[in-house]
Amino acid sequence: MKQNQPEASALFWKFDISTFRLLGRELITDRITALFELVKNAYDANATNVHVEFLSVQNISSESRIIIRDDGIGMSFDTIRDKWMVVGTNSKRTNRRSPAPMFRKVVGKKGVGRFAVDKLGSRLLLSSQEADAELQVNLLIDWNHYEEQMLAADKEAVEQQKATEEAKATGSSQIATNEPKYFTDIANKYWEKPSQPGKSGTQLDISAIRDPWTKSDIERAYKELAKLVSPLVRPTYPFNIFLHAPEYDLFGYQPVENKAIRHATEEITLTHDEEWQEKLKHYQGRLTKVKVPILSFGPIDFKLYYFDKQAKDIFKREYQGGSIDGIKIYRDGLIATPFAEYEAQDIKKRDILGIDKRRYSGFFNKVSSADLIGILNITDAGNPEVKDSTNRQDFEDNKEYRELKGFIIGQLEELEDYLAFRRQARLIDTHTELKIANEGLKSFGSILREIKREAPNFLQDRLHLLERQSHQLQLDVSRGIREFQDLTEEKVRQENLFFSLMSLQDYAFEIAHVVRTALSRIMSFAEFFKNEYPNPSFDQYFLEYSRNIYDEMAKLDSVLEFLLSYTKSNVSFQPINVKELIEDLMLNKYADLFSKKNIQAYVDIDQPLVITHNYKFLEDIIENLISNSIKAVEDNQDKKIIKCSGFTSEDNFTLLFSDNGYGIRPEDKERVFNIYFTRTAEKGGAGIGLYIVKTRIQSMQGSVEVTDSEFGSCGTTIKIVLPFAPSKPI
Amino acid sequence: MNNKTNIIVIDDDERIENHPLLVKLRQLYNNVEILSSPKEGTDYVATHLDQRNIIILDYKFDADRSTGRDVLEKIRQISKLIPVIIWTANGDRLTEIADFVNYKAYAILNKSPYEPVLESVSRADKELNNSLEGAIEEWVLLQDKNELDKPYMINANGKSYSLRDILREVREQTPFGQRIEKDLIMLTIDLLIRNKESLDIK
Repeated sequence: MKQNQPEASALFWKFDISTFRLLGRELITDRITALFELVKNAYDANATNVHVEFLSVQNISSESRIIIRDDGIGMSFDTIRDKWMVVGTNSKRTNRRSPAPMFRKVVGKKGVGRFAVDKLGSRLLLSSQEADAELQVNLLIDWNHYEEQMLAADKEAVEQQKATEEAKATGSSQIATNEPKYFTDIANKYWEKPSQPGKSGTQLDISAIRDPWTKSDIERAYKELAKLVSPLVRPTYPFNIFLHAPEYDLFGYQPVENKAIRHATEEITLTHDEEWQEKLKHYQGRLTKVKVPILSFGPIDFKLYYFDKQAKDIFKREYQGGSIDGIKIYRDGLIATPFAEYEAQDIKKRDILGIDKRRYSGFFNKVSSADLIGILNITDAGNPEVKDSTNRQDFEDNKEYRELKGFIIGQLEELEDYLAFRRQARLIDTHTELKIANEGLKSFGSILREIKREAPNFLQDRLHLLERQSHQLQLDVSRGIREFQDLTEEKVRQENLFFSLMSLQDYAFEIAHVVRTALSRIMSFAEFFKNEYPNPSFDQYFLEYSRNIYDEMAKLDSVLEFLLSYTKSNVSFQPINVKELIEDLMLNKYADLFSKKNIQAYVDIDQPLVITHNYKFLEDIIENLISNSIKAVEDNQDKKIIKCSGFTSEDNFTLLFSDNGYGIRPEDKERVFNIYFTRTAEKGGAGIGLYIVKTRIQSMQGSVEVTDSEFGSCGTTIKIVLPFAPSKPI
Repeated sequence: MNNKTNIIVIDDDERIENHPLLVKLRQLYNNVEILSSPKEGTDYVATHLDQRNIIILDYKFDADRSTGRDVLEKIRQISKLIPVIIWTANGDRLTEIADFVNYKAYAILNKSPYEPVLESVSRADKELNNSLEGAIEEWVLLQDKNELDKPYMINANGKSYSLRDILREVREQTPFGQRIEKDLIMLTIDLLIRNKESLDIK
C-alpha cells in the first residue's frame, strides 16, 4: 500500500464539470427566481435602468432570446477575470455597499447568482463596458459545451474502467490513463471590441432558451420583479425595471411597477419621526393613528392595504396572475423578506410574521395574508437590530424582531376590531333601514287608501290593484325584517356553539386524562397491596396508600358529579342576565353554606349585562370560583370575605372575583389554571376547577388571570374579561 | 441489596416520591435518584457517565412543556447506551413512537401496573452486566483505584486516555469508543476461535 501513496503532503479540491448544473439549474429553484437574481445583480452594479427583453419566447427556436441590459458601472477585463469568473467571489461580501455615489446595500452575497443564467438558457453572451473605457469586453459561455464535455468525460471514464479490467484480466501492466477534465479546464471564448462612447453597463444575451414563456409566465415575472423595489420609497437614485415582450400585447414596453395596491378597500399609512412612531387605534368605528415613543426595533414606515371581497374580485379581474400576498419587509427600499419567494400555491407560502396562524384561534373576525398587502420599510441605519438571517428568508430571532412582529400583529388586531365594528354597524343600519322602509310602506298604504276614497270610479280598479300590491310589499318587508333578525341571532348562536364545541372536545379529552391518571394511581397502590401484603416493614406504606386510594376515588367522584351535572342541564343557549346569575348564586344558593362557615359574601355589579350563552356553562364558572374561595378562607382566624364585583366598559365586561384567604403563590399564578394543578388536595381539590374556568372563559373569547389581590397583602383576585364583540346580538 | 446500578427517575410529579414503584426500586437498588425537571435529569446524566445508569423517564412535563421525547433526544446526545424506559400515564396518546424507536428507548410502559417496569429495569440491568460496556466496567473497576485516571492508552494522534476515559468513550459511543469496542470484540472472537484462554504477551 505504502508505495502507491503520493509524496505530496497536501491535496486540493477540483470541480467536476457538472458543477455548473449544481450552481445554476439545480440551486436556483425556478425561472422567476433566476430572473430575479440577474436583475438584482444590476442593482448591485449601480444601474438605474434595467431592461428585460423576451424575444420569440412563445415557441422555442434558434431566435428565442432573453436579454437583460443595465446601465450600471459595467465590467473591465480584470473584473470579469478576477471577480465575475470566480465562483463564490467575495467582493460583495467584503464590500457590503455598492460603489459611489449610490452606496446601495448590495443584495447578492453568495457569488453564484450569475449561474442562474443556466436556468433560463444554455448560451450566454455577456457584453460589458465601463464608463470611459475604450474597449467593450465580450464573453461567450456555452453551457451546452460543458454538457458535451461532461458526457464525453463520463463515457471516457466507463471506457477507462473497462480497459483497466481487461488489462487486469490479461495481466498487462500498461493501463492508459487520461487525465479527466474539470469544470475549471473548459475554455470560454473572450474578445474585445471598440466601446460605444458615453455608455456603460452590462448586457446578458441569453439564447438556447430552455422552456417557452407564455403570457402568464411573463405576467408572473412582471409581478415578482415589481416586488423587488418598494413602491413607497423614492430613492435618490432610482432603480427602474422595464419589461419588453413584443409577442404579447400587454408587454410592448412596460415599466415594471407595483400596481397591486390600487384597488384596496382600506389604505393605512403609519409613519414616524425622530421621537415618535405612529400606530393604529380603533375607537367606536374610527381607525385613528396615535403617536408612541420609538419602539425597541427602531422607527418604521408601514403601509397597509386591506381588500374586502369586492375589492379582491376587482383585483383578480384587473391584475390577473397576481395575488394579494401579505406583508413584506423592505430594507432601504429593497425587499428583505420574504426574499424572492415565488410559490404559486398560497397554502405553501411561509407565514413568517405569523399572521395566518392566528386564524386557528378564532377565525370569524381575523384578517389573513390573502386580504392584505403590506409594505413595511426599515432602514439599515434606523433598525440595526432587525438583522437579516443568513438564509435571507427571515430575520434573526431576537427581542427586537419579535417586538416588530408583535407590532405588526397589533396593527392587524386594531384593523380587525375596526372592521368588526363596521360590520356590526352595517347590520344595525340595514336593520334600521328595513324598519324605515316598512314605516314608509305603511304610510304609503294609508295615503293610498285616502286617495282611493276620493278618487273617481274609473281609477278605483287600478288603485285597488296598487293597494293590494302595497299591502303585499309591506308583508314581505315585515317578514324580511323578522328573518334578518332570526338569521343574525342564529349566526351569534352558531359562533357561540362553535367555540363551545371546540372547548368541549378539549374538555372531554382532559377529563379522560384526569380519570385515567386517578385510576392509574389507584391501580398502582392496589398492586402494591396485592404483591406485598402482609409485610410489617411496609406498614407505613399500606396506611399511606389506603389514604391515597380514598383521595383518588373522591377525586373521581367529583369529576363524575361534574359530568352528571351536564346531563341534567339544558344545553341550549339563552339570554342570561349575568348580574342576576351571580347574585342568585352568591346571595341565595350559597347563603346557607356561607353563613354556616361564617363567610361574608358581597356582590357589586354596576349594571345588568345580558349575554347569549348556556346557563350551566356560566354557572359552573362562578361555582368553581366560589368553591375555591371557600377553601381559601376556611382557615382564616379573622373575617372571611368573598367578593364579586363587575363593571362594563366600552368594549368589555370585567369581573373581579376576590377572597381574603391564603392567596396564590407568585410562582403558581400561571400554573393554577393547568389541569389538575392543586395545592388543596387535602381539602378535596382535584385541580380541575380553575381549568374549567379558564377553558370556558377562553371559549367565550375572554381572558382570565390572577391579578393583584383586592385585599392587598392577603387573598386572591381572579380577573375575568369578556369582550362584547362578536357575540352581541342586535 | 448490593446492586451498584444507578436508577434515575425523571418525573415532575411531586407525589412520585412515595409511589409504590419507587418504594420497590429502593428496596432492590442501592441508589435511586429522583430528578424533577428535564434539565436536572440531563445535567445529572452528563455528570455521571462514569457510573452505570438506568433511566425511568416520565412522558409529560408541565412546567417547560417538553415531553419525554425531547428529554430522550438530549440524553442520546450525551450517551447512546444508557437504557431509558419511558413511563407514561397516556400510552395510547403517544404520537412520537417512531422517535422513541429511533432514539432507542429501552421500553415504553404504562404508569400502572408497576410490576412490568420493575421487570424492565431488572432486564436492562442484566443486559448492562452482560454487555461489553459492563465487561469493560468490571475490568476497569478491578484495577487499582489510583490507576483509573492515569494515562493508559495513547492513540495515533497522540491523545492519551485513562481507563475511566476509555469507559466514558465507549458509553458515549464516540468514534474512538466504537473502535475500542470493535477491536475488543474481534480480539475476543479471535481468542475464542483459537481456543486461547489468555493472551500471548511476550
